[in-house]
Amino acid sequence: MIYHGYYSIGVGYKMSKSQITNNIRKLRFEHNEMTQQELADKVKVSRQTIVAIEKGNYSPSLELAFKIAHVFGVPLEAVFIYTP
Amino acid sequence: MLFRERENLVYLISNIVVSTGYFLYIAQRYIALGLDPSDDFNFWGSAILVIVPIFVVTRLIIRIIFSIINAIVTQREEPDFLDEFDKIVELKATQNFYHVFMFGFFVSIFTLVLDMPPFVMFNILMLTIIIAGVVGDISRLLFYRRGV
Repeated sequence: MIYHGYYSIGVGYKMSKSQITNNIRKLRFEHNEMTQQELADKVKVSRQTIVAIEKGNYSPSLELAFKIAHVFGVPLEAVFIYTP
Repeated sequence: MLFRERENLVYLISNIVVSTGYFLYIAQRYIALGLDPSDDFNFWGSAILVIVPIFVVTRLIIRIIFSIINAIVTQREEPDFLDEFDKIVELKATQNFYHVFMFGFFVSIFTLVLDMPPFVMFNILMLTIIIAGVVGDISRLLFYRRGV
């Protein structure tokens, strides 16, 4: 059986780390040094989630990604960069 | 360490302490009672049923105490809702819990095929519940620290 994102039994592979990077940290500093908590409050998630996104440990849903871009007033591509 | 990481670390430690304590208590009681093998089903059945509300109540108490202490120490109110990241972490940790539980369940059933006494099956089942719970908590902790 293969589990999406997990080690498959007998094969032993892991889903590659996210190929999406982001500029959230830079954008926060450019917007009056917004804190992670402030950004989290604006997009209605926890600070833990913002930390995970900034570190590249979590790829947000489309809705959350758009909300973050809307907070900074920039297009989605200015916030998240996909590297094939 | 962020709130959810601290919270899950506390859950993990309390889970291990409570589970180990309960398991040792039950084992000692079983030995002390010196039950007939025919009474095994009654004894172990009730022991396993009781473990679920014990875990639930313990988790609730720990959560309340931790929230109070965390609020006092950090002077910050943490979110009381689960966002998308929390839901995915919970989903994947629960998945790991079920995998371990199913494995242990089949092992416990297999002991009946080998004609082992019923208390062996119940012991393995109880240990499976405990270990699966610990695996779930460790999974949550790792997912919060390393991401999903």
